Amino acid sequence: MKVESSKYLTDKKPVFRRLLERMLAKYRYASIIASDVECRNYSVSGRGTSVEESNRFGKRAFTLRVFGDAGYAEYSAVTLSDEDIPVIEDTVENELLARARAFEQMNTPVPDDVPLSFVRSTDFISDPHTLGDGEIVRRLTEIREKGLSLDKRILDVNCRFGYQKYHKLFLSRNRDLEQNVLYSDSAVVMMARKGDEIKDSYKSFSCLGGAEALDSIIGYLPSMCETVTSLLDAEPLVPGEYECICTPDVTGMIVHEAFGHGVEMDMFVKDRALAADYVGKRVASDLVTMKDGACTDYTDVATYFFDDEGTEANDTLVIDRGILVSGFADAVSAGRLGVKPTGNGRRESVDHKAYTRMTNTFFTAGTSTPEEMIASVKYGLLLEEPTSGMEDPKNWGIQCMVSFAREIRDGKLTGRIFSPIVLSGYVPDLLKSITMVGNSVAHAGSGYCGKGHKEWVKVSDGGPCIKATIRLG
Amino acid sequence: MINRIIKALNAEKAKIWQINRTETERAELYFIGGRLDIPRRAFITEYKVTVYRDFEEDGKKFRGSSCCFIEDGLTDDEIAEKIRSAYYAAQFVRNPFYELPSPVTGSKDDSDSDLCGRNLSDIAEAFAKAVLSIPTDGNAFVNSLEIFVTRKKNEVAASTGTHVSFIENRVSGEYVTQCKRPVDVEQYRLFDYNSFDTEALKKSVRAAIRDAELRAAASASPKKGTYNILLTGENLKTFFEYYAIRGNASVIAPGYSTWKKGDTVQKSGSGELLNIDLVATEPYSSDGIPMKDTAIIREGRFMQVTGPTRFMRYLGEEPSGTFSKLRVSGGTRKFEDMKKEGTLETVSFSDFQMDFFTGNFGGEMRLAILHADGKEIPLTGGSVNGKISAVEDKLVFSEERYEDSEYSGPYALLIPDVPVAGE
Repeated sequence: MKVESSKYLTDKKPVFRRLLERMLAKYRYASIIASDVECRNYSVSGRGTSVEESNRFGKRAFTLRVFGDAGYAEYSAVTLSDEDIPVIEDTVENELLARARAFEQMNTPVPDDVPLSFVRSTDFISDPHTLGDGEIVRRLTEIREKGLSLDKRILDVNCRFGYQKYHKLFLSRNRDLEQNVLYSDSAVVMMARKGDEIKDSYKSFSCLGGAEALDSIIGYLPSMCETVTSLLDAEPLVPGEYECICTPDVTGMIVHEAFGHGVEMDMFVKDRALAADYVGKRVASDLVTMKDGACTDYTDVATYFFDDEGTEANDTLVIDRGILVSGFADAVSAGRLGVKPTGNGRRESVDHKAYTRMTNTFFTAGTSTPEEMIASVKYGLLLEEPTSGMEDPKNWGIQCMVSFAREIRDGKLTGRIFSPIVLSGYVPDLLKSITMVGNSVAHAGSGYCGKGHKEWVKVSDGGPCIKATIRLG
Repeated sequence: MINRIIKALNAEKAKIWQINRTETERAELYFIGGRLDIPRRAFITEYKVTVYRDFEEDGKKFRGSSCCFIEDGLTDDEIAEKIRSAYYAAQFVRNPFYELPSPVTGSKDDSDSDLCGRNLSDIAEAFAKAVLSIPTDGNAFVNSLEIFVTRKKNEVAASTGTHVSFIENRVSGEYVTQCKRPVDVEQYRLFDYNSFDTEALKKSVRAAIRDAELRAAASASPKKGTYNILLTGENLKTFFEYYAIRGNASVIAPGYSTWKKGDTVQKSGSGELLNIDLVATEPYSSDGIPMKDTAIIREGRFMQVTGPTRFMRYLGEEPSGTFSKLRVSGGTRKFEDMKKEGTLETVSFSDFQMDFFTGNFGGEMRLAILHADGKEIPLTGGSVNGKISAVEDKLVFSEERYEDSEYSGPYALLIPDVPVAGE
């Protein structure tokens, strides 16, 4: 089934068009991005049950962008009527563009406005709205109760499901774009206690679609139980450099945090990315190929048809067999750098500023099986369950944390487990140390990505298993 | 709009409800290399409507709830549909019954704030000009700056009779300082003020420029081993927040934390005992409760649980509202004296983190200073990985204080014997 259009945006489109025409009569360029969003989150845990709407990552709102004599400005609001248009016109001219002249302004070329018009929608199998609140809560409750029954040491099982159905409209002089997208995600966190300490293990699922993200959770409960109870006896790791196998979700965190943020090209404009000096140069082992893309070849949570500046979604080859080929860019940064925008201009919500952001970001598959990779390790660690990471695009320092590491000795898992684990070091050192790449790619899209410590957007990341030498603490 | 929402609630026979109206006005300025990237203005008014639904099963009382968001511009039919959907969902939320907060009426304007009545764009411009006026030598400077000036008018109305309103003003944002030589590096900082304190921002930026210069001179990571670490500034809030979260009703009620009032929650030893208060930064909570400063830890003992109303009721406590600011008392040592031989002063992390369930803390150091052989050696890279239960009896606080919107307390914390991964 296809996601249907928003009646609200359809009804409001003539008013948005009238505002746009008024602006185009005065300014070099004007555009409007408007959204209508339905987002619902469900959770069942020892804390109770929750079914709530959320507008944290999207709401009914719009942003008008205009290009004046020198720079550009934006005005955001919730709704628009014809009576609002003169007020907006006055604010843009006298509050934004006039005040901007008090400062030296960045040179900002007018964005590409090649004619483009379409209405596109994503597919889904199971509509969460049709499935109903009662059935979703019943399924989450069933998963929780099954998890709690597996071992007496399980303190709680926190089950979550959420979906966002969003509709976006982009209008400029030559563009009239509409997209209707539904994505969903779910997660289970299993907790066990020993003394005053609580250890947890999680699994997450996401898809470009509907309630199908709920379908496969229950089968993972036994392995999560084994993991979290093992973690109760985890040992601290002696800091040092280790030969490591990273599971696909840990690979995804490295792709995203360690390298992906550094090729967001608004960071090139700011002189905040070391990667700008490495285009065309080796940054990783020749086993590494990296891509980022929101186009519908990738069916995960950051897939769309156009970005929040009206640029069509793209598929960007970032690293080709170890050589940095390209970053990805929002429209304004692309204009300043003299390159083509890649459809990566994204906003936390339509009323926020657009930045260059990742979408679905991953390493492509290699040829090794996970079993071959583990068998190749004399002494090392299997890293699992990423918990957090922080970018350092200027200096390519790594900060990534994973929940635990399993010991590998003479090509076999010993059952010994270490926790917690902090990855640090220099990004190219890690990427150049990759000597084996797994033969299948997995994505994870249950999380959000911040720019620094704010502006959260939905992303997915992933890749195959990789074997690398990593500094751990 | 509130009357239209109440009409829709009545039509749905939803008798118990709460409406949070938030009218937010923002002025934003973004700079790159001292030049204006973009000015923005935003005007967002929204209504969060929480509906409650009481029911009984097998003689047990439940109070379910759900919420929806209503924006200006919605038709009466759209409002009715949203209320209906939330009220329907509430029947599946089988949470044990609890009483809502007692009714309160009141209003607090922002007349005691020096941001009151000022045009938001004027405020943003003044803060921007303050930063851009800082003299730099061309080697170390402000790379980029984002300023957000926000005025938020909050109103809480509930079927219990609660009706309160208050206004918040904030100047927040982030900046990056850069030093080009000998190694091109940066320092990232957030800021958040509730007063027209351009001097505070200038002072913070100057310090971050100095930190960038130090990081540029850092040529190595620390050697791996165990160090006496000096944690400084905003990272102390993350460290001490462990105690606030372990003492929160939403963590105690489901059994994640076993703390009870009167428990000793900090081992005593050679270090200082903790005294922590939660500070009221807003006159009312999101459910209309008058907020007041609350002592939660005294001399290492847990004194008072705080947290969301539902969990406070489950624990038999009066609702307190939810706090965002910590105040830590004490501090006996001068910061300069704490930099003893071999101390590793952690100036900035990529992201200092505390795991509130395990007490593990740490992060990758972007800048640290090793005080050794009478010298100050700047270092970068390497990571701290400590555990609070292993160090809490040996904590030493500085006399010097640090203050921001979420933390008031010692500027520096000496934590002995912390493992560090490095070269």
